[in-house]
Amino acid sequence: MIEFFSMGKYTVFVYAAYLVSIVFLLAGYLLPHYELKKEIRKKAHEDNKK
Amino acid sequence: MIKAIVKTELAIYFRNLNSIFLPLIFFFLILSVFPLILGTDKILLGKVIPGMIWITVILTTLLSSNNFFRDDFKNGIIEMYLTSDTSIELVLFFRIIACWIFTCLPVIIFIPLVSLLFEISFQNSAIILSTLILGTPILISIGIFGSALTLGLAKSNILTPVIIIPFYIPVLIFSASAIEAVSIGLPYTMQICILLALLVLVLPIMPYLLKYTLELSINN
Amino acid sequence: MNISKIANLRFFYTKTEKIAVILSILSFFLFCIGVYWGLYIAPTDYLQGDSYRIMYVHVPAAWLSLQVYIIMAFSGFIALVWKVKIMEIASIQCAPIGAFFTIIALITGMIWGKPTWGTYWVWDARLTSELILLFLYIGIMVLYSAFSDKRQAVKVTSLLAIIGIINIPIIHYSVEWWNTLHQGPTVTKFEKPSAHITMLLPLLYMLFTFNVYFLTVFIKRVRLGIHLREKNSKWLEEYLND
Repeated sequence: MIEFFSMGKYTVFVYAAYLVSIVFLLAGYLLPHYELKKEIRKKAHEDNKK
Repeated sequence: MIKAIVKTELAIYFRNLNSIFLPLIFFFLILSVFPLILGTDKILLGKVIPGMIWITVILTTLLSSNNFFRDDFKNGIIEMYLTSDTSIELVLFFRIIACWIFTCLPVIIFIPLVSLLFEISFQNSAIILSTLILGTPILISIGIFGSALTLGLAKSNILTPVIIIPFYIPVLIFSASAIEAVSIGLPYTMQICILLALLVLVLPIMPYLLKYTLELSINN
Repeated sequence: MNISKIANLRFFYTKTEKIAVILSILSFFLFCIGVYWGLYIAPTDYLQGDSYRIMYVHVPAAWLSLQVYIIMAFSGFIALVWKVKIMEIASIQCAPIGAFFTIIALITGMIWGKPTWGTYWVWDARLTSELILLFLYIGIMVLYSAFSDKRQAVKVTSLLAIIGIINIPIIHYSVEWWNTLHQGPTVTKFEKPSAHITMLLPLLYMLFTFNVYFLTVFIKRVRLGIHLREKNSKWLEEYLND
């Protein structure tokens, strides 16, 4: 495990870059995921009201 | 037929003489703001003056071609365009040229005055003038295309520039490169040729593209 | 002809619910493997030390940002010419995906640039055209949201995307040519000597992984688009009720 962090002076940069990309990739996936769930829930709510 | 189109266009523009001078005044206004911000260091100003002129020209063309179809859209003339049996592309072509004559040509005519004010050398001012003459019709055409895309939309004054400026960038790059080549002393013919090529490509295609865009934008 | 087009949307929406879940789990695991491979197994570079490992996220993101734009323009073209509904949805839903990839490429590129070449940003061809690509994506998304009639919005944004595709290579080559004028034939920013296979393989793998990820998010977004468009149609209500 210690080898992971032994990238010399580049550790911060490499991990920052990977972190940024993971954050954006996750966000890109979760956005449509929860948006669709919200829409389905909204629709069920409207149908129940009717 | 062409005479009739040209006459109507001139009549439209001359009816409202203010609109002829507005782009010119806007140009000088923005151009005057730059030295106020950058300070009066003559060397610095001498280095950035081509860029300043071009940025100001971009703003002027963008803002004046933005409203190209606005009145037509409000008055329902666009539907008349699309359903008439005359060649609408020809009319649009002359309208584009008329727009250029009345918004960019005054600016171009005053560039020698600007080069006197900012003490630009003769060669630099000549190349600035050439790139402007070649580039502004392209900019106007693209701006009119942007106006057709955002027909009737609210907030199109800020939306259209956001969409259109990426398309201005090639013209910008080649003009800036030509100006810099002249100021260093390198050959500049390639840049001028490419600008000419862009002009010859964009200007004839634009009326057809505009007609297609208007059909898309007006369909309700 | 009409029935088959509507059935197209319904077919996609109903059949891809399970596929989306499977793909998302798959892409997660593929990505974990890729990160481990890139960060740990791949050897340290002689010239760049360990900072080159950023390449394993930066290059696929940049590659995909262009690929998604081409997909967006292509599906927009089909939507304009043949008026295929699912292509209309697919075209506009590609835009946010592509924008995210471009942002990842730009930010990781900046982070990579700082230790390697000392600066966060430089106005060379690749970076500048990537930035302009981001502006194109944003322009398309903003233009779409400005219309109230979404079907018309798709037509106009498809046209913009198709015109934009001509712009990208022009900008790239003009900036590259503009820069070579300045610097002359100096060392290019990202030299590609014959890279060792142990460093190249994880890159190809990450490219594949990012594509799987793109497929996942694309399917999810198209499903969302179909739902939004067919909110009130019968087949959707029937499907959701069971």
